[in-house]
Amino acid sequence: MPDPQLMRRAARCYARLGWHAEAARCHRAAGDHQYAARLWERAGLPAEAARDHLAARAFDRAAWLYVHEADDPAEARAVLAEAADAVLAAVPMAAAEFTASDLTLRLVLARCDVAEGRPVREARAAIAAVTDALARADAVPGHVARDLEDRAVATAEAMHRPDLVALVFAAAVRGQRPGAAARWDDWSRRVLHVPLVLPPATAVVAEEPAEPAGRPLAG
Amino acid sequence: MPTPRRSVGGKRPLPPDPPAGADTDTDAEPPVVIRTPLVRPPRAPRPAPSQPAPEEPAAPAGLAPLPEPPDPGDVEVAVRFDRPAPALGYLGQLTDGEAREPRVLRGESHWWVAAELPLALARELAELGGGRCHVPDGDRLLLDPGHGPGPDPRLADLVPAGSLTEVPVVELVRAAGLRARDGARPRQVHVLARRERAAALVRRGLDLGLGTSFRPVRAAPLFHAADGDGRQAGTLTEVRLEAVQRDTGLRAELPPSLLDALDRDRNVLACRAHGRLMVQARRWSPLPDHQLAAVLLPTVEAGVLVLADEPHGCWLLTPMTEFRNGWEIAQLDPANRLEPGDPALTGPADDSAVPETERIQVVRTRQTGDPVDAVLLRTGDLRLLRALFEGRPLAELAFVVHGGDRHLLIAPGGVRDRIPVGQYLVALSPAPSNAYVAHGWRTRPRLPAAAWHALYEGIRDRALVLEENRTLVFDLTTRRPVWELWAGDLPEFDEGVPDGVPDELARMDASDPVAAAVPARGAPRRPSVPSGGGGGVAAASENVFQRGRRMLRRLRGREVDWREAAMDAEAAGDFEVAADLLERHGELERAAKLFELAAERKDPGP
Repeated sequence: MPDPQLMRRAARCYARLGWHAEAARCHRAAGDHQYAARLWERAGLPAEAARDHLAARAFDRAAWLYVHEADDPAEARAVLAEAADAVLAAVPMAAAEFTASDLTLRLVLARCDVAEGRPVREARAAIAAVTDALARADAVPGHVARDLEDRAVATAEAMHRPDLVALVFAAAVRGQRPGAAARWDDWSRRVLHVPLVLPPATAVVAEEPAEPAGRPLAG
Repeated sequence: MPTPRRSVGGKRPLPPDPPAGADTDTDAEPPVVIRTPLVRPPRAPRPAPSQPAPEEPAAPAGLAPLPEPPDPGDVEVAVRFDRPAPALGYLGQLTDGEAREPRVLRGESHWWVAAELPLALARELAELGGGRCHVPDGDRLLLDPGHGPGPDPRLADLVPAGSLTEVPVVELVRAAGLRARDGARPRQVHVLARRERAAALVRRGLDLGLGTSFRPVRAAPLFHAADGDGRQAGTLTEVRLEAVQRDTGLRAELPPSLLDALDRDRNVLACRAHGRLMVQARRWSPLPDHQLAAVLLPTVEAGVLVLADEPHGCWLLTPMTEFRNGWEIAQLDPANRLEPGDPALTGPADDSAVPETERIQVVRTRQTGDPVDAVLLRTGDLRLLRALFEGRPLAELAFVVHGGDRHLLIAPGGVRDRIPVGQYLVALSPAPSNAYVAHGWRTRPRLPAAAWHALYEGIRDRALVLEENRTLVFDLTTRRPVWELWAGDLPEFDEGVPDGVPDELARMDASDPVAAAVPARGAPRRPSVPSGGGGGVAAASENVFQRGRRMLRRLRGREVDWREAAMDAEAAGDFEVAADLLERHGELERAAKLFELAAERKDPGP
């Protein structure tokens, strides 16, 4: 294995040149798989990024890149199977843990279903579960929530279901996720060509039990 | 949950009181748990009904499970399937978790799988494959309605149990067959081929850099075909192709194009191996491989089972030797045959028997995409360099080594830029590179970098350019900066002082003994400052400082330019120093390249 320090310096030179793919290659050789993955993503090479995520044992990111960016759902499923094998082999798990719903995983599987043209029932259920989790501020921590939101939105968009996208954003706003309203507004302008008008934050929270979906879009 | 096992076939008693906490679970959504990395396999079973879930969000409509009867414990359930594949899938799900011992029964046109398990679980699993649950009642089988405590003998359809005969599981496996489906790309395949195909396959595997080994096997038809389809025992060659781990931490895979080609070729059979069981690549039985092995392997005493689709058929292989490495046959050619030692070959007295070496030739190659490490220029090209380089960054770096009718353009870290003049050269080794060959050419035989390094040690200050018929030698110590090609003399100097002043200054200098002893060139001299009493010592010491400063300035003037230093460091093999210099001066591309070389050299290989 080449000397990691020098490889990192090479990578830094390439990064300063803006040659992300070369820099990623050097970081991979130095064993910095997380950096490498980020640079591959920036270089527009999702399959390579997924390989490095896999090497860094970030199975969910690898699988998501395979299915969403590289359009390779079979590989994504294989990655998840490998992840399950790796973890199950290391830790004997109770049945409760084994079957516990894992939202990140469900979203990846849902995206696989959409990509493969399978029935979207499970995908809808996964997005509904994510929506529930996003709406409750204590259900998922912030950094996971952002990933969940992005992936749920991407999955819903792949399903051509802007209504589900709106549900996800609405849940994020209700759960007071930082910046959710701005992201919703961006999406609305980009897709619907309509700026988004939301009632004040307190009103949204108060309205939660009533009709969370669709209403803010009417503005 | 420990439940008493019921006797099979006896009267089913009324269900006992439901155990607390076991059947209060009416949800499909276990609590939300976020974990990374992900742990659930893609085909995880549904949540176990006995799993308690205390704080539960309301389940979305449509996923609520069917209400479940009180658990009566394991009962004998026979499930009827119309087709063998779902039956086998059901069997696999049964045997996956617990060590149940299901039996396979054959009806007139149906397949039956009987086992002891909770009725609710049997319903769930059977429904997935389109099976119908039956519960034995004496010598009859009662059709289960799919809900409630179980079939009512007065209402259910009956099937006489006597009409079913038990058959080995192998029969079901055979009937279910294999289906084509893509899976994860394998790391290893075993290819069965007749020997005339095997040799080519071994060579191909070696060409692709795969771990290649082979062994002859005796193949006998499996499942002794009763219809006599003419298949007879014979010998085949089994070639094992294995992806080699190259980068650390990444998965080694076989090239997909190779797998595609093997899949299309109907004269060879590519298999994945699971212990003594081999299944055709990209074909899958409804039963996972490890279960398939558990079912099939006890049926034969020794040998390797091969399951494959038409037209290959299933075979039982008996290895005739151990696996042998592929290069053993691939490199066999007459030149390498072992002959008895010829006394004429050995020298008479001295025993320094050196093998015949081959003259290094420069031959054509199709390889493209080589980097431009140096450029070979004709004399006429030199005039063009000014137009190409003036004001360009490369002019800062590049050096020209003049030769007879060819000139070498080099730069620390390589020229890299594809300038539109001259012949591009690629270094023959990443080590301190002083042997070059033109793009489109290579040496035969190919020599490892260590060989070129040894050559370099011998001719440290020379650069070699290997051509087809001659080798050009350049003396690297005569290199000149490329800008000297177009930089002529500066305009006439005008010292800018009135006439007579230089003479006056020279006269004053002559009166100063210390300054006169160390005449400084270039900079106009400052007359020494006259000072009062005791000024002689002060002036002398001041002049010592001035002299020191001047010497320092002169030394600085002679300091090696950083480009020269980088070039020297690279030539000396000190890539890290060269790269550091280049990086500090903003030559990032060359610096990065040299850092990579330095990293690879610092720790060559694990």
